[in-house]
Amino acid sequence: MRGRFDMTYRAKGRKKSVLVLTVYSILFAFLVLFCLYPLFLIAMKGITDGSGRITSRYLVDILRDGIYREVIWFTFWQAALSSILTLLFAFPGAYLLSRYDFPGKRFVIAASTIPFVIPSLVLAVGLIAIFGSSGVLSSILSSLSIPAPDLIGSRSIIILAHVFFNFPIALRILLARFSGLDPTLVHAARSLGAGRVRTFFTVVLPQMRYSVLSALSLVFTFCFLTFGIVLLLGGLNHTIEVEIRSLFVGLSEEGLHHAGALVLVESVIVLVTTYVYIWSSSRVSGRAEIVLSRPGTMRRKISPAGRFLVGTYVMLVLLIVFLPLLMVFLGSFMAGRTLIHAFTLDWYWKIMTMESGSGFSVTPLDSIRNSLLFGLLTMLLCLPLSYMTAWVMVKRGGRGKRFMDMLLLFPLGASSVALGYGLVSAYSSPPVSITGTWYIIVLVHSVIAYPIGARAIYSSMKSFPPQLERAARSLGASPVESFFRVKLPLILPGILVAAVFAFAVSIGELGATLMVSSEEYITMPVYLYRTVEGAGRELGPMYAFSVILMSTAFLSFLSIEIIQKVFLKWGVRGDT
Amino acid sequence: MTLEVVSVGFGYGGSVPVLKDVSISVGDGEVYTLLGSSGSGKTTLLNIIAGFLRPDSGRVMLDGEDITHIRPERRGVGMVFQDYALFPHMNVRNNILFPMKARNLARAEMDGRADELCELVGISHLRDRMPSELSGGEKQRTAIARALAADPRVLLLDEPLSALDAALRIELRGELRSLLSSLEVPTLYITHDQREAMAISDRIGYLLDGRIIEEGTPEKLYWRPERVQTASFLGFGNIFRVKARGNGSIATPLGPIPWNGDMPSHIGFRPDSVRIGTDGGGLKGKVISSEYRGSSLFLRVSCRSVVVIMEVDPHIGAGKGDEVTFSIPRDSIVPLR
Ligand SMILES: Nc1ncnc2c1ncn2[C@@H]1O[C@H](COP(=O)(O)OP(=O)(O)OP(=O)(O)O)[C@@H](O)[C@H]1O
Ligand SMILES: [Mg+2]
Repeated sequence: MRGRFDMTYRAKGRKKSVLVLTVYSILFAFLVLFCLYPLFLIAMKGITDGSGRITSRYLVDILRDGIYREVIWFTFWQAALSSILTLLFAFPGAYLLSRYDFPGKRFVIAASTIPFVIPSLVLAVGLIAIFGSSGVLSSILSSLSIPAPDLIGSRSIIILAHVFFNFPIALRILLARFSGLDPTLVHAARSLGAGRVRTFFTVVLPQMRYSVLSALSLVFTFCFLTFGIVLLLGGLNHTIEVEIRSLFVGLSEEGLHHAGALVLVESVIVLVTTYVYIWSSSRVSGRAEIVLSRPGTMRRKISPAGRFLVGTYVMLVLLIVFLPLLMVFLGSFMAGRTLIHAFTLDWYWKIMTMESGSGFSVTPLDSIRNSLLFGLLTMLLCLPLSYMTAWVMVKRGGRGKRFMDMLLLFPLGASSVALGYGLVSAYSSPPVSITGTWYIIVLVHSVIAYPIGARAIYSSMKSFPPQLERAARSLGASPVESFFRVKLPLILPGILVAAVFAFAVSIGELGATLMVSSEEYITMPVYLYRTVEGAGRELGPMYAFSVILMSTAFLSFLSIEIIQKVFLKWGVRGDT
Repeated sequence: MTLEVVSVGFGYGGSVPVLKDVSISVGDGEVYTLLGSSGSGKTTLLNIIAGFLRPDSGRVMLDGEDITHIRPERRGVGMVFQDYALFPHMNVRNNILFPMKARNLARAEMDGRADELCELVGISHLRDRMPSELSGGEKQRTAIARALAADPRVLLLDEPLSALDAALRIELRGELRSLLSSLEVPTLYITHDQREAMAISDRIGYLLDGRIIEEGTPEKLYWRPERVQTASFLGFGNIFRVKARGNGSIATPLGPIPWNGDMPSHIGFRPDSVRIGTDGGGLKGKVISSEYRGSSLFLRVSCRSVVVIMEVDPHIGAGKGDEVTFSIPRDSIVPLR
């Protein structure tokens, strides 16, 4: 009885319902078994020696040894630089987009979600298509007889890729806040005699500071934990994740201990940045939702100068989002190495008919099938996990809430390479032996994906007014009925977003998958990675395969949009 | 059908309980208004009656049946929420159909009843609109129609007019009054606006400090409240502490008055009962401030050691600094405790 009452009403703090406790236990069991314990095993390697005694030797090693120090330092400054550049680029854009209405605005905002679902590997291939030694840029430059720099393998390309990849995320965070600003405050400031510039710096900017911090810390975390982009584009430049992987693969005992120590250092830094992220985004007031245009807001007629600014910016956004994808797409239909060659479907044909062998034990088609299957299974496993996480985050208030939230969302900031390797080393011998199975892949993908989904569901749950559920109950609906007819339709957008994310993460994940997948269960990204790394670097099949990967991700995204449209035909009108 | 709230106590876990000992009884077709200042626990009490909160002590009875432990959806308690709580993803019609669908009524019956209810509250032309396309008043009507569609055994309304502007509020409260009194169910109405309470209710209870400290008809509470706090909440601008003098009179700051019966601790009178400029034998005072409020003039007059507030005919034209004479009719002076 007590439990039931608490479900409909968030009443007294002392009545912690049985249900909340149960959900907590399920989530923590999952978290401990499949994330914390495996990571703990790896981290322990960093502070114990071969015979299990505690030692600081490896930590001292990695901080002293030139190579490791260089890796840590590089990881840090490239993340810092990438995130700052990303913000510098996104901030004015978000401001312009919130301030001006123009045809196609809806499209631009929708386009900015695409990088969320497109695997970073595809972006890397896209950048190879543009900046590679046989890419568009170099063919243009060489036709002008200018020597083309080969950016692939350089540090600049890593940073460029990070800005490309993360800028839409930053844009969305900032845009949500900008469009949520209370326009009357600006009007008040203006009527009190503050000029435009002054108003911007004294009224608008201070209200943006938590959003800026949250975008900055999020992008920093992503760039710090980057793996696929650096692996494919970075050449000899290693970030911590990439270094850890080569140490794990190297299989030297000494190397494992150093990897453990690196994981420790990495975790400490990421813990700080994710904390900053969670803290600052909880400080952002108002609804974190992008509002296309609100009546009576800062909408205004566009002056010629404004039109030029907005136009340029929109072009840039579209270029950034679409150019790499477009290049991959075009490349997949070109017979030769450059764009001037004839149209062909050979590459696709080759993929369809390729036999296993030549370094692969599976065909490309097998890897596609694997990925689709794992993607769907990950989605199925993630949805309840994300939902439960969001649910307890909404239910539980009071002391220690931030710590609990942080723990629940812990995998957001976990090293995926270490997670994969940790799972394998924790559960490779009886009684629990899951190494090499298909479900270890689904498990690791779910661990990585569920916090992102949880955040999506959380924000739609939080904007759900609790008295609607009470209204439904008072009108005679049972708890189940009121859930399905009132709550679910209204939080469905968040749930669908969580579903796409889960699928997209699974489809695109490389770091952990490389560590856990056996030859039999190779996924699309692993296959793509091997193709890129493989001898000869035949570009055509690589492009074609990327297009398939990208279309899969994109289709999932699209189908969810459609489901949402159908379900919410009668939905909240006038909202995004 | 009667609604009875019996000695209900409730706290949110803080040190002081919000409700200490609340008892209310509302009869069939009666409109009972719970009046109380903001934060006094009115919404909390409604939530207890509707079953969203469980009281720490006491019971809720409907028609002699103890419903304290019955689930909200089984109680038959219709509620109109403070901000209406219309389902944003359903149009007006589907909002109204919701409770009937929950009871699995036959389609034809549901449609007929929905049309009837729309007719009753005057929203027939809005049936296909979404809640976001309704004005405040239209939302409020929809919310009432939806609550009635559940065939409630008791109706609870939580400040249903508070989200509307002043003019509309006055217009709608007359309408609401006739609608509510045409219903056969006990109605518990909540407001912190004393005029609204006067206009709409058969009986009013004043909730203060977790208790109903006084209840009665609007006329009684308006003219002859018994408690100092009620009087002051209901616009008795003049409340003075008094002392017994023996020989059948009491001492007030404005002079002694004859008194028989129980000795009150205070007396009070309404600003509009003061007569100004009357023939001799009145009190004299000096105007401290005067303020027009539409059809009347409010004067603050210093007299002896106190300030008397009076609401008078604006043609008097008394201004600051003027000397005025006034008197207070004996029968408008109310004893308070
Ligand atoms: N969920 C809750 N947890 C803790 N305290 C609460 C909660 N809800 C309300 N309160 C407190 O209980 C008291 C009574 O609140 P309630 O909402 O019943 O007041 P009210 O009389 O309806 O006020 P108003 O006229 O402003 O609507 C307030 O002091 C409020 O702060
Ligand atoms: Mg209230």
